[in-house]
Amino acid sequence: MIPEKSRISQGQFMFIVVQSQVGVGILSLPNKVQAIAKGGGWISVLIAGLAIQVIILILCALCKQFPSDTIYSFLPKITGKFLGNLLCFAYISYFLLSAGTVLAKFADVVERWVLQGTPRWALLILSLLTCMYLAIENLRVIARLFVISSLTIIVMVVLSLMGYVNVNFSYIFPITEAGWGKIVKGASESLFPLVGYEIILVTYPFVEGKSGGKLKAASLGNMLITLFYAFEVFTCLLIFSPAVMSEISEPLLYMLKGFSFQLIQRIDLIFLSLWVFVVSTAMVSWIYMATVGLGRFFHRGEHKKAVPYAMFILFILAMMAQDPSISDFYDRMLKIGHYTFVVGLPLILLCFTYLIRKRRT
Amino acid sequence: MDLLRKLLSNNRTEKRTHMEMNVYSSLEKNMEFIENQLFHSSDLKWRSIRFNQLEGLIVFFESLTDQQRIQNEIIQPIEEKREGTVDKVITSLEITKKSDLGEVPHALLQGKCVLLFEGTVEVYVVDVTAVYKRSILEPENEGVIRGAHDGFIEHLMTNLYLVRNRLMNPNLVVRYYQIGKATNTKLALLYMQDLANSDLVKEVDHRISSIAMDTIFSPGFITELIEDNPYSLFPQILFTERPDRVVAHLMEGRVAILSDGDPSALILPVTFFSFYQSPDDYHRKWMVGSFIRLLRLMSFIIASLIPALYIAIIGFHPEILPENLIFSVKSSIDRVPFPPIVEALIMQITLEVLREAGVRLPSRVGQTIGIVGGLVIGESVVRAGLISYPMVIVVALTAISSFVAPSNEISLTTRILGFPLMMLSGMFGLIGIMFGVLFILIHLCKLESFGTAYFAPVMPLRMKDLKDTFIRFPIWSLNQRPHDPHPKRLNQERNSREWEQDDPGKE
Amino acid sequence: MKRIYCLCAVIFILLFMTGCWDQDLLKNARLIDGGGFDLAPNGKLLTTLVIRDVPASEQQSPKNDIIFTEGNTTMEARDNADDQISRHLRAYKNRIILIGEERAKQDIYPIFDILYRDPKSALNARIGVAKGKAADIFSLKKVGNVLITEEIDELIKSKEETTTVPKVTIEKIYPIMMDPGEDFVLPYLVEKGGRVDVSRIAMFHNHQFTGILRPDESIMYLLLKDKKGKTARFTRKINIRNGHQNSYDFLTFNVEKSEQKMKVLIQSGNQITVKLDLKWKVNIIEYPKDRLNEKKIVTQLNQHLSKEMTDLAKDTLKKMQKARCDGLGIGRQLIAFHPRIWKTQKEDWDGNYQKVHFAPVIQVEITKKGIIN
Repeated sequence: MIPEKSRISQGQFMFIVVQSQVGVGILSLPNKVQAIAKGGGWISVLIAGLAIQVIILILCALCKQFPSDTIYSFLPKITGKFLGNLLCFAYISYFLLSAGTVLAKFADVVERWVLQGTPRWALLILSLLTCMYLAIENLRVIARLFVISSLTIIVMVVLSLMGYVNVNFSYIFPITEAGWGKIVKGASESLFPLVGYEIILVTYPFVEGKSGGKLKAASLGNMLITLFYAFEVFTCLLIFSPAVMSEISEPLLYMLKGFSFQLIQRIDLIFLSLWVFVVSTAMVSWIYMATVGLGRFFHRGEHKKAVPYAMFILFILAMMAQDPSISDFYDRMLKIGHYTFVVGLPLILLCFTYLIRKRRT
Repeated sequence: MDLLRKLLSNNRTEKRTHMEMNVYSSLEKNMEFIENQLFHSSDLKWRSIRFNQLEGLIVFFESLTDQQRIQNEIIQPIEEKREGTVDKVITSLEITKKSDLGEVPHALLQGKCVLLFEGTVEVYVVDVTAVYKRSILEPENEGVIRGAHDGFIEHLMTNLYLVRNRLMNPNLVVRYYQIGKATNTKLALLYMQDLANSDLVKEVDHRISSIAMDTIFSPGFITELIEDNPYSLFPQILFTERPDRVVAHLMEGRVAILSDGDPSALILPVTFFSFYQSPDDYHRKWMVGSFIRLLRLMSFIIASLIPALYIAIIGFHPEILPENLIFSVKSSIDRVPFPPIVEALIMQITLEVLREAGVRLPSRVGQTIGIVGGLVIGESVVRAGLISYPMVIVVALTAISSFVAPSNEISLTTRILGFPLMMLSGMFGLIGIMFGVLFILIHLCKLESFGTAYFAPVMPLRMKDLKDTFIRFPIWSLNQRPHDPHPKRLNQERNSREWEQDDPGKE
Repeated sequence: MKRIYCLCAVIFILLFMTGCWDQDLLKNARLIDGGGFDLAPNGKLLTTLVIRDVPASEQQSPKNDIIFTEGNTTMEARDNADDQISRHLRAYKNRIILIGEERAKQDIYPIFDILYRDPKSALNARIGVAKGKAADIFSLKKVGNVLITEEIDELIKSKEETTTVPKVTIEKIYPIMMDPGEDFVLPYLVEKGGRVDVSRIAMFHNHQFTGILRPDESIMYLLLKDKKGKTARFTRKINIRNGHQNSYDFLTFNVEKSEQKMKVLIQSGNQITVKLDLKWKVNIIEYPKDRLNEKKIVTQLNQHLSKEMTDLAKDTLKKMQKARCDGLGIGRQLIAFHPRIWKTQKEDWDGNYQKVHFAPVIQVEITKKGIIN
């Protein structure tokens, strides 16, 4: 079913999960979480990570039922052809919208921090062309790059370690200032920067090995990323007093702005450049998820052919998101989409398949 | 499509086989045929002899044969003995009987001489090829400080000798090919039977035999005809003139192609990092070797990125420079009339021109070029206020770093890679460079040559192979061969320092 | 496929033709090296901008160009300055910001807003408060052979190492400035006969300048805050019995190691007590009387210095309380560890801070005495 050429190992699978999860959200996450959960923001992130772990369990259990099918091929098997195909299109649009939002937010940040004068379309074309170059490849090549670009995460951690020069530990106290209710609410907020693990639905059948190993790889990836996010949020909370946090929309960049090495200053630019890698890989994984579906429906499984017009759709989506009201609309749609398509629906489908199996036996 | 191709290729082979023709019994007819076939070329010579009371002819190309040998090995014995069987009388090493006259012109062209006798329907083909070759010297472009100083020459047999001599192993297999319909260039494919992956050998064999060009001048042709990604900027086949390098690669399970008339051997499949390994690394202490290798890889990054980074900093993000540096840079660039991208392009192109001029000119004039380029252009261009000092430094750094690479191909690639990066940085600053780098990385991880990932062992990541990639671990710790050519046997040693365990009680 | 490649090429060429939107050439920039903000008579912001011009040839020394402008905001004043000079004014390599005394007595946050908002601004510039007018200090142009901005910058940097002034950059005071539970302090610059003197600390409360600490108090404050630089020296008079001045009576010591412990205690009736325990290991640098090999004398000196230093600490804290400058971040401690108390105190923290009872105890221990006794 799955050609030898696009099989990936479990290690690669882990990095795919990692790279899909790290995205644009990381820069603004501390700000958003702090607004709700105050000094306990980092706990919120950890809770969100746990929640995602549960979701990953569900997704893996679901995929396990169809070891050689992607979501696009097993949906019709469960729900019947018509409904299944309809749901597939819903998934495709959810993935495309996610990719579009990532792209739009990326452009926003870059326009705010570095290229104020560059028109949005130029930036979008630049990033889309680069992503396209990778997205047309098979999963194995994509996985190769993802493994390497995970190195940037290490560099990012090292760079943010420098922030510890002027930390004030009293800034995170009292940890439960906002109350546990708020912290849990903050967790639901920090769920969104962590999305991307949906890639399991699409890549699961391509992974070599047993289902236990696959689950382990995905969980490990999620754990790494949750820890990374929690670390970054924690660092920001230590550096900026609560009053400042609400003023700065990208604390992670801001904290590096004043640092200087002997030879270079503006470490935030370096950080931002590395972040380009991370965002591009996240974008590629969303595009891949969407185009695999498109390819299945329109190009007899060749996702490559779907990439160019998917790019065009993304371009339009990201151009429209210039208007804050539209980008807010995207966010709301994504939240709904996330809960329905990644949490709700798989759970229902899982129960459904179990029921069917039982009845048969 | 495939079927069509097969048909075509069949046609091709059919064309190559000439018409079979029996040898005439009449000497004159035979002679006439040969002369006609070779269009009465002036260097075709013949000499009549008598043997067993039969009129005979010795036909040869005076330009291709060793006339001393004809004299000693053919004419002299025949004149002395006068009678007997030809095979026994002639003292030459290689002598074959042929009954197909059509093969005769071809044999002549290979430097053989042909014996014809009146009334005999067979010809004797005797190998008396003249060999004019230069001596074995150290290749100029791949010199090392320590290690073997011999290099390949333009003679295939000598080259094979150099390899065989180092690798006295029955598993070393040599396969001959003749490609180029017109030039009939001789190729030799070398591999280790017990190491090289048989799929790889089959694939290489397939690709070489499908070459249908009529002139093959140089290995460069072969590279272009058999490599996987002709549109890529990166070289995918390693050229080397060093037998020790060839042997080392053969022992890793790779395949080498040697061709007659050219001193370079092609090694494939190779990874990006093979271009940054030099035999020198293994002659030094491993720590020193590692340091030098890291330096080389760093120079790759410097050579391709530094001009772009400089443009981005000067043009987009001057705030990156610290206070004490920015003013000294600023004082130099204040008078320059061009934007940094133009400035960089001018200097880079000047550099390439100077380099190319230096290659073409004889070495004495080449030195003058160096002086003109380095002193006159470097100094006066700054004095005239056209280019700034930092830019000259940047370009010089680029050039020097790119020349560090042990392979000439990759050093050119590095510098050319710099150009698109410069453009991107001229448009988008650092962000543009990052996308450019990402693009290059994507390209590198897409590239595959002969079933091997080009950027292995980094993409795909294989920790064990990293031991001999960025740094060189001690040789006794390299227990496995690199995985990228998929060798048949991975292990190459278990413990070469077993003596350490042997004598703990002695002291 | 070929068509796609063609398209890509066309797009790329188009991009390149129109490109360079964000280009900000270094050679077209006039770099601001320092900025001063004073209160103009009409209530506007009087801005002094020091522009550093570099000569084309190496022989000439760099020069400062000083521009005075007025404006309602920092940016307006800078724009006004930009109108008067060729090329573009750029502030990304600003090294020093001085605020005149009069201006500092008002809320200084508005001056900084542009610096925090602009992604290119230099957040690592140092800040200081100038006695009199900042413009006057910048008008010195040169101290000796050194440009004024460089001189001030280097001076403050060296003074940070001697624990005389706090290590303050625009970035570092941002979290403190916005925090209700802490106040920041800045170096206080005085012009003295063509030179600049940096040895005092200007205290702030609610972004307003409220008082000055003497040099030894400044060091003491920084030690209380546990922000020791490389050295921290005090010179004290030892023999108080002898009335007349005698250079044998003085002792200079350097605090080698300082261990600070701060505890905020809440006692009945919401009385806040701050216990500050400091243990110093000091090195005697200068002591003409010698005889430091006698244990008795060393113990005496230890006791004497401990008392002296505790008194100095008390004075310093009192002065800070008087200036309402919560430089030790007592409020911050309350927010973090006693949030309930903070809720009751928050409304009137200005007044309540002055009621905080500080109990500093400093223990001095002489551990080194140089190479003679």
